[in-house]
Amino acid sequence: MRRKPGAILPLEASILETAVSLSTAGIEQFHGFELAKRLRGDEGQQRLTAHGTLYKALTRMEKAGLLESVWENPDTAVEEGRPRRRLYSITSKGRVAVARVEAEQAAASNLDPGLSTP
Amino acid sequence: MTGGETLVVGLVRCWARLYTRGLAVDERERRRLELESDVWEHLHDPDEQATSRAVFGRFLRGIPADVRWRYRTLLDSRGARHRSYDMTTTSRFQWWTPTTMVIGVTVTALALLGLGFGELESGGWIIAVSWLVAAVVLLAGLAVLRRRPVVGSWTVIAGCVLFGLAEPLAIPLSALVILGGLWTGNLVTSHDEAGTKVPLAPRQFSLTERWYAWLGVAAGLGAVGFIVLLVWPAVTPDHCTEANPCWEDTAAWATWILSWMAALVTGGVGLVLAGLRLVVRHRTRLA
Repeated sequence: MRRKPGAILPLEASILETAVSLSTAGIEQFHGFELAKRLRGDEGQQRLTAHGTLYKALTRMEKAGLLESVWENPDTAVEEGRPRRRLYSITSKGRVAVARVEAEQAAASNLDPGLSTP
Repeated sequence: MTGGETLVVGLVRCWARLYTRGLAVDERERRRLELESDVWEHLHDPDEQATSRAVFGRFLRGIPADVRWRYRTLLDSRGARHRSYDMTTTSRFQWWTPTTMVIGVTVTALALLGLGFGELESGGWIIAVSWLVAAVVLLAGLAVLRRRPVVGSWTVIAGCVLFGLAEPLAIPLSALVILGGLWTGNLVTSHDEAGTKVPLAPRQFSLTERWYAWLGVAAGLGAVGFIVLLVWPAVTPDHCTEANPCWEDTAAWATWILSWMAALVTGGVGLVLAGLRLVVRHRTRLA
């Protein structure tokens, strides 16, 4: 099924929400695996997001201007003895998109309150 | 690292090399390095358990997305959607217009032959008129193809459908023209990341890939031709004999031979062009 122009997929919405919560906690930049762990925790899933699904979504979101990314300083990676990380951060456009998604969700739950009651 | 972890790391690396092969260097390197980092973080995370199995699961579940990402990245990197329509259509008309013109003229000639020599009592007129209508529509489509590619292609396709309906034996030939019409007329569409419908210009596929696909179609046509040849004696009308051949018999054979030759010629040209393209691409990469 094709997505509508400007539509945000559930995974993308989750990524943006996670990015906002990380930012609120003072973590402005995050890498792919950290994000996968956070997503698993937030969504209550047992499994981490698949490599292909995660990085495809991140690339797509960056192209859409919702996220931006930079390579980590190579010295830091060398000091810690690990590969260099690609660090993502949410953009102002991404924050607007999160707000819109949350507003839509709130509107949807107001329209049918029976859905939200157990 | 354990043996399982080493194995799964190697597997992820191999797969990453495979599906990023041929992409732009920055796209390729970025994806490979990101995966390298992700797998390392995963394997060294103190909170994670049964990590080799978990990494393998993430790798396996992500394969469909990897394949789709590769396809999309290839399309984007070729930038066909940003090219002008003139640039993308020029090369197609070099071979397509004369080919379809020959087919159109042949169909018209066959139809006229049918009108002149068709057997009225066996429905030759109906077939001949149908062919003639099909041929007129086909040639009309060809006439406007250069100025109005989309309208022209749809008209060509309509003519071919009529042609195929009038004479089942012409279906392989019609299929050939219809596929070419779809290709020529830019009627095949794709969707960009935002879900917007965009015309899929032929250059969005590599020339080699397209010609291999075309070769497959050509082989299929050849196969259909052979099947027709095998079953033909069983469906030949009783009154058609070697001593008294019918017009339908001759026309059907002519159609079959034409479609078969078209398939062979297209396939042969495709092979040559594919070879040339591979050489050109190889040299371009080296440069």
